[in-house]
Amino acid sequence: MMEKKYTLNPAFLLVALLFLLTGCEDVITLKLDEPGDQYVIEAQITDQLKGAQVALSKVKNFNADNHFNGQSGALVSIEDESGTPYILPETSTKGIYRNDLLKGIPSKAYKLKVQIVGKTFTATSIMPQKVVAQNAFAFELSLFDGPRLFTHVTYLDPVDRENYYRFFEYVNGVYTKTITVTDDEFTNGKLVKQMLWPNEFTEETKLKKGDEIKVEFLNIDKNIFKYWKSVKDGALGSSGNASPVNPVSNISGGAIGYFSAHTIQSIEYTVK
Amino acid sequence: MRSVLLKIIPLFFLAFPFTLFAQQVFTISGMVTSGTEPLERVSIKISGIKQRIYTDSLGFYEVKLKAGNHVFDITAVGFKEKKQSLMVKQDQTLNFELEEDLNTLNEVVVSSRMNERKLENPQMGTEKLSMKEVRSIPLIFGERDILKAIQFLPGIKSAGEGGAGIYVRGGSSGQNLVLMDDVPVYNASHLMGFFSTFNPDAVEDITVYKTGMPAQFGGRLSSVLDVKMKQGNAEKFEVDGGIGLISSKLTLKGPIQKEKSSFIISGRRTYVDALIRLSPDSSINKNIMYFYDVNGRADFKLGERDKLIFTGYLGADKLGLAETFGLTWGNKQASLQWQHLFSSALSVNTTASYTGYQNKIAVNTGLDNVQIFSQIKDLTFKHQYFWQTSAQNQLKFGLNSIYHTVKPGQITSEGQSSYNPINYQERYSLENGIFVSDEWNISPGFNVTAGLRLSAFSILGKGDFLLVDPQGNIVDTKTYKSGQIVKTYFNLEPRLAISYLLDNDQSVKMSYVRNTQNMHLISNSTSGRPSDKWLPSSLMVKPEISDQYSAGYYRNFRDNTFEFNVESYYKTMQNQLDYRDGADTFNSDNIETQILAGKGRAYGLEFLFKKKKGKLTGWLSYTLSKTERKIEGINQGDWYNARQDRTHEFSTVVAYDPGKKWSFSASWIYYTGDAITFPAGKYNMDGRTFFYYSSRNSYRMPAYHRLDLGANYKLKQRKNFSSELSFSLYNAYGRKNAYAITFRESEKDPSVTEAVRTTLFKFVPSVSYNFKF
Repeated sequence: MMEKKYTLNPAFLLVALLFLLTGCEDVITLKLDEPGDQYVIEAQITDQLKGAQVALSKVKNFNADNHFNGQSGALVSIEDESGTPYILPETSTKGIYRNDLLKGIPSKAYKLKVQIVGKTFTATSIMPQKVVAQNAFAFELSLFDGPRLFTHVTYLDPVDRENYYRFFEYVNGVYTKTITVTDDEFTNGKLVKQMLWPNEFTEETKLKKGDEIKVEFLNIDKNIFKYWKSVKDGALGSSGNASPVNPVSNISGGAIGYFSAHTIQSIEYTVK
Repeated sequence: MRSVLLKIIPLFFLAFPFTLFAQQVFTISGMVTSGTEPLERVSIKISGIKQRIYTDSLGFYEVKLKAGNHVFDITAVGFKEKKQSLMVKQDQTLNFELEEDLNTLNEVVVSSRMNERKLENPQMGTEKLSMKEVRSIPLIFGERDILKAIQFLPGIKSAGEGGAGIYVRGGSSGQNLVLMDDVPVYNASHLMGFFSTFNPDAVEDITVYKTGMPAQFGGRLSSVLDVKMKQGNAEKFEVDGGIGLISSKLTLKGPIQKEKSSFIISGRRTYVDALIRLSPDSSINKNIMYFYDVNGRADFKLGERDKLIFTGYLGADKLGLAETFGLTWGNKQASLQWQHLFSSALSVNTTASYTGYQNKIAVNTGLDNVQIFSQIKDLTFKHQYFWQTSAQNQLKFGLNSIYHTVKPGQITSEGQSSYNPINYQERYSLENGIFVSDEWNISPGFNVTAGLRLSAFSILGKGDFLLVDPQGNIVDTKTYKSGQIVKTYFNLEPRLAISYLLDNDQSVKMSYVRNTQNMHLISNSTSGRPSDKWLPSSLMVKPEISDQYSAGYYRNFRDNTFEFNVESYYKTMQNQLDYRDGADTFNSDNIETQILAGKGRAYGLEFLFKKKKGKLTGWLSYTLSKTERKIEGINQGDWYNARQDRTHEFSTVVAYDPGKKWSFSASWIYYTGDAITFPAGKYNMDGRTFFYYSSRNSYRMPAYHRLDLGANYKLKQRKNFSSELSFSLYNAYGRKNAYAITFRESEKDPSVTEAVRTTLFKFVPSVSYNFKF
């Protein structure tokens, strides 16, 4: 639901554009400010081995390349409820810190601590209880560009608590880059058939017979849901909203990003 | 100023000293007609008194004059000027019959009636535009949308390319009181804001109050857009119509009972979807997109002193993507007005009306179905008196009462759907206002209008109301029963306007106005969206309050051929609302936890130079302005530019009508780009790029400018039948104005990012055919 609500408005506009207007797009050059010294943290612990990873980087200038701007030399740890800190040593990739043996347990709280040149960032996340993904399949719908197959994921939402979900879709091993998050505000206790949207409505993103689809289904906590929902308010670079803002982070100390303790399940199917 | 106030205030509350004026003053009254039908708002200039008077909607006028000789000078558009002198020595009736001026009937040129800015009237900050004037402005798709036409006037800004949304003097689009024949319209836009709900064929004129709103208006912060619709013809049947690229229109007018009652019914339907159906692409031709409007009005004269007016409006948009997705939204309105003249000096106007706006979204994927419905309904009662207490003094007073019902959202679903039914709490409130306003000609050339409005907004049960701390956490929930008063917000709104005539051609004016607003529109988009939601004041959401100070200088030249005026204003705004970062805007039961309140300020200088007579007419308008907000929790609590902040705005409209078959028009507009937030950097996460923002609205969109051209060609006139062809070219030199600037990974090389400008309209030609018989 959440997902649909946020994708409808551009859809209307798209329709309007198609039929009414002689609209066009041009790449232009703008003079933009320097970002200053701003850290970005993407940290997670999952219920699987090899799931504990922290990516530490810095915001780059708009005109720089898009490569990950990893920051070395940080002291990174994740602490469980007993107060035991587990160190995540830096890997051979600059800015990536990992502890392959660290695995979270649902309903437990985890605390992240990142220290680098006089700065300390902390965050807490509680790993939600697992909701089982039942099935994934393709279903045809006609929206603005004719018939198209959309991946749907079914799961039974538990009625007794608030649940938050995130989905990753991979087509033939390639991440579609669509950000799909949802909660159970409108679907509490229901058998939910969540539709996954393409990143863009182009010919290339249409699913074809024989495509191998993998969906990663994450149970996330409320703060992470809020983070991704607020990403849609601007961090994707569209100014459809009046004033884009940085996403709402659960990290204290002034970093952009999030620390998420989540469960993760994979489900695969082949388009027939 | 204080002594003036001291003199006026007792007038409001005490009996009126009639007898003081009784000696030597006589009442002259009468009708102005075209010979067949009454003419409303005709200007009458009478020698010996400074103020012009105007006929009312029944064509009736009345004036108190001292004994002696007076010359009446009557002017109305489309009619020959008439002068007549009268020796006043007793109460008397004097009727005027104006002769149609055939030369000016179809003219673009507008002279006195609508357009004369009355130098001696303290009312400032107003712009009037009649449909006849709108004809002289080339508009997009050839659609003569009055809300787009007024965007060429100073202080009134377009909310977006090609759109009908409006910002007035730094306010937001939800702060305009849009009235269709005195009934408020909640969402005055069609088709994502590209059209307004005002069918050009049904509109008579518009008056925009940017400041100094007369005290009978209340409930919105930044302006009143008072649109008057056409009335029927009590003499003969008439048919008007038009066929355009986007829409067709048909209007029928005629008598119900000759000379006593009339009707008008006007319809417009767009057929964008008819064009869609022509598309060979089956993925496109199943989509639906259209809107329609139906306006109706009936006037009944009941004897010499009474008149009943019924108006109705129905309009809706429908948008559908095949069978999967449907969206319907629209307004419904109805009103019944009774005008009664007690005596030649006192009249009363009583109106009961309904206005409703609703929005319905239906999704049916085959796996799931869900409908979302929201609605706002107003029942209004208005009762207003107009009392000409003397030749120097006019008094208006009255009350109005609105019962609001807001249904913020209801979700329904059938069968094996993923969705639970949800019904957010309906909100009820009663908005009452009493007002009194006195227009006083203190001495020749010195006029004061002083008014006072008391507004009382009562929030009614039943329902749960939240108390929220500054961090947005719920502190307490209070439950109220049906009909229980949750809270009443009282506000006193003083209105004061003063004018002083320097000489016959020049005047200066000053005004102060306070406005309050209890129905809030928090929109995070620039254009009107069907999903825009109105939020009534609550325990946490306080009334918005604005105070505006204005001063201006006005001058007419060359026997009113030219007009020049300059106005300045300073406005402060309290309790301005915005969403918190990452707000959930859908759940209205918890909306108080998702919003922030702060303050605003706006100031500016507006110039207007107009040529009103001759073959060549038009105007130049320039606005220098600033509008800012300061909200704790946004932009580190510092002042920031409101999105609609534009430093410079220049526009010009020129019409040339040699009185032959062809007439031509052109307009040009230039403004500083809107204040906007662009990224200050970017970062990589999950293998994709995200953008980083530092301060709010510190960048500018590129400057906007555009030239539009228009031409009208009169086809052969036959008896009782006339028609014309209208051509327009929007954005004649094809300027690529930025509708939006977005940022993304480059399609060619995903390792870099690019800024992309989206342009909507480049060279939009249109042609339409209009007829009348």
